Amino acid sequence: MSQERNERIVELQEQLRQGKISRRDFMRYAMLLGLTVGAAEALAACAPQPTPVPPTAVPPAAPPTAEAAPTPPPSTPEIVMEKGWQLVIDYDKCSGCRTCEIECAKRHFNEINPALAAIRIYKVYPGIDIAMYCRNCNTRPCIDACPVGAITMDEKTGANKVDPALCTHCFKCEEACHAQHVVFHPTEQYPIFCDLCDLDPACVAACPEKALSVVPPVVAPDTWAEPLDELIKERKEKLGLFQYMTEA
Amino acid sequence: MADTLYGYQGKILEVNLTDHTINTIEVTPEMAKKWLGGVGFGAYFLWNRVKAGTDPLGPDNVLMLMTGPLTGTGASGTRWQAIFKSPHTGAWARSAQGGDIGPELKYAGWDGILITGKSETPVYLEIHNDRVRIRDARHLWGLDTHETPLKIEAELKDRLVKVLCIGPAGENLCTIANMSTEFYRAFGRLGGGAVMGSKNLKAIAIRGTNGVKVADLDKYWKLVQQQRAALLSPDNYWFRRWGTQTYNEWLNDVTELGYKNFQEAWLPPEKFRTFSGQYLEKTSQLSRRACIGCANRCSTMGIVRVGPYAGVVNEIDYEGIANVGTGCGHYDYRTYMPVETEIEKMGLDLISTGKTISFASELYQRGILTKADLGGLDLTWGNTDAQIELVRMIAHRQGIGDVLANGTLKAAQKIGKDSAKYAMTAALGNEISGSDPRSSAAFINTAYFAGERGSCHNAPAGTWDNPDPQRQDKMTLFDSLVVCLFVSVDGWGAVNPLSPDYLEMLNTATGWNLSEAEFMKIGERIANLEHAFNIREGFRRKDWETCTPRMFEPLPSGPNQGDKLTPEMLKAFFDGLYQKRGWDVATGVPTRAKLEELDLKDVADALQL
Repeated sequence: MSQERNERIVELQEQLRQGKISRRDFMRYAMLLGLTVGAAEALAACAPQPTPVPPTAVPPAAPPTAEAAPTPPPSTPEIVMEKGWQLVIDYDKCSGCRTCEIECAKRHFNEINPALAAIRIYKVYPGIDIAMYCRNCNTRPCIDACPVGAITMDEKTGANKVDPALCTHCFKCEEACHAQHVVFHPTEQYPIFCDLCDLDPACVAACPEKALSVVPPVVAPDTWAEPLDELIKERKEKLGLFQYMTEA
Repeated sequence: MADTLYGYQGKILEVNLTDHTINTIEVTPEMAKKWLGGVGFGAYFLWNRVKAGTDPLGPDNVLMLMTGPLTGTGASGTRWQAIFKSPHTGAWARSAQGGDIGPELKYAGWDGILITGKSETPVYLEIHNDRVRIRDARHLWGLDTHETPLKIEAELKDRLVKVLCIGPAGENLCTIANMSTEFYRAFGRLGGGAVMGSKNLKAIAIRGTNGVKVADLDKYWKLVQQQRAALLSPDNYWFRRWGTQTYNEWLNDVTELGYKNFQEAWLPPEKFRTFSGQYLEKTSQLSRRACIGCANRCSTMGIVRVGPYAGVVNEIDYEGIANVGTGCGHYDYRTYMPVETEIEKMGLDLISTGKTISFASELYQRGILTKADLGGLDLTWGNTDAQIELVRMIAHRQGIGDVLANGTLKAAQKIGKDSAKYAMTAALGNEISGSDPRSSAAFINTAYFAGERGSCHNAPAGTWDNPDPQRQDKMTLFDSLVVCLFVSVDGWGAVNPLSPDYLEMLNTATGWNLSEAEFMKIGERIANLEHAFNIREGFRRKDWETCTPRMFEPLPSGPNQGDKLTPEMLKAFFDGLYQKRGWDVATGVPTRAKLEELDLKDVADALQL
């Protein structure tokens, strides 16, 4: 690490201490300076937190019999990943028309080319159309897996952001992904994640079936992203197809 | 404009399967403006490359798969077209297909594929953007149309690859074989599958990641969104809700729902109940399926949940119901869907095969074919098991299947014994599709006679009293753009290329400034070239002005009981049509004046007019 960078980190630590920047900002700037997630976290830990980050989810009501014993504060500050906004889909409504793909590519690249869309429709079997896209997981193995810190989280929506200039095309994000599915730019080969269009998604607006919607963190489902095959299996089960099938 | 041809990719892929060479044909602005795309390009190449008298199943026939300027532009209902010389009729053939594969070809950077020659061993074509490979398909030969795409997907390790393939029927050169994709979508009619089979081409796998460029994207997108909004408007409510099942009720009410090989065309309410859109929606619907970018999503996927064939999933649409369902004597989707699924698995055309089964069933009913003739099949009306077995026999050309594999008319010639009058064919000897043309309330009945590709339900030319070639030209334009007929808001009823405004869409996409008259002229030019191709093949007016004698008998039942066609009606219709077309009324040969008016001087020269 160069001297110059070091100075900047110290500066950032100072700002964090004074509460001028948030902990998330600190991590982001530190990573932009070329630090790994672990190192940034360690540096952030050096700076005492102005206030602990409150969990956004409503805490479960304490059972009435339990004694109200104050829980000791954790000794090391734990990273609390806030649940972000989520794009959710109702497979019962989806007709697999791929309007979402076309609109997504139009919004982000101003082109007619579904291959540039962050969402992919797999037309697996007559009646089963599965949409795959970044589900905004609570944990982001993709961010941890990225060796250069090209993937960051958006402040407002919690969606992944990618810096194509940093990406080294190692595809480790896809390996790490809970769904084993990341869309890559067909020629530049960097990952394209759903960025929720700053909470005004083109796909949601255009979906003729109204199958897609974007939901705030309080109602966002707790589910993890799942691989395509799992989703197909679930869908077949839901439609009651398994009883007729010899092979899954 | 000079450098970029907006709306097109600017090149057509030419594959010669004899020596496994690959060529690129440039699409010039002049060619695009003259022929538009889709059927237009097909007509142009077929006229220039397929000489008169070419064997449709020989290496010299050309199989073309063409997209148009609107294909893959994100508009609703964009498709692609197959054009070839038909082995079924020996005439010009075109067929359209939905799904994702046509636009995918455009995204791969090609405006079309042109296949010539014949491979020595079975092959399939892999197109991944500019990379085109001819791959070995010996291990795929014999597989049905449901297994083949899955095998190819696994082989190419790509779940997004779109596959067009043929089944055993195409391999065995049944002239009623189709080319199939997504399990149930097909270039159905006129034996494209046999042409593919004759070239030893099992499948075409396409994957593309390029974009389609239009001249004014923002304006174009407004039109796309307008079109989408129109499809979602209340005007389109019923079609969007029930798809083509909407027509079941309506066509039954006007005595058009062909029943038992058109012996009747109406079902009394208690029998019809199980085919109403309402009943099917409640009992069978699994989900809906759309072609790429389409808000109409008219494929109604149904499932059979009870009985010996439980688990069969397929689209339930009007043509399936009318040809294989009521046409073959079924009263219930649960009994006919397994037959339809088998037809599609084997890679046979739903309409012609449905008509062939009902033809054989009627011969069995009348004792012309016996159980022994049929190899022990009890072909009573609505016998699912026997019909499935018959479909397999047709696809593999076993026993009676070998006789039936070339469609009803040729089967009737082989069977003899007066069986020809039960072959439900019209123009050029092609099978009539699902609706009965006798009813006076019918409005697509003229298509069974005036269709350039022979009897079909897609190219009506006005009514019997008022022939209207412009309507056919509009259909031709649809097939050149290439867009779906169902996307016009009024559905099939009032087809009108200006609603949604396809002309404006075309102008915005290409940056041209065509007027409506110029637009219609392109349609007329293509229609004339199609006709010229058929004339060069030796077809004359009498080949269109023909149909099964049953259509001259009155309808035996239903609200329109007693309606019938007469030879006089046909004669007056053709007189009027050919007059308006500017063709010779007696023979149907185009006149030099007409062809020159349409910039087809070379065609007039070739026909020695």
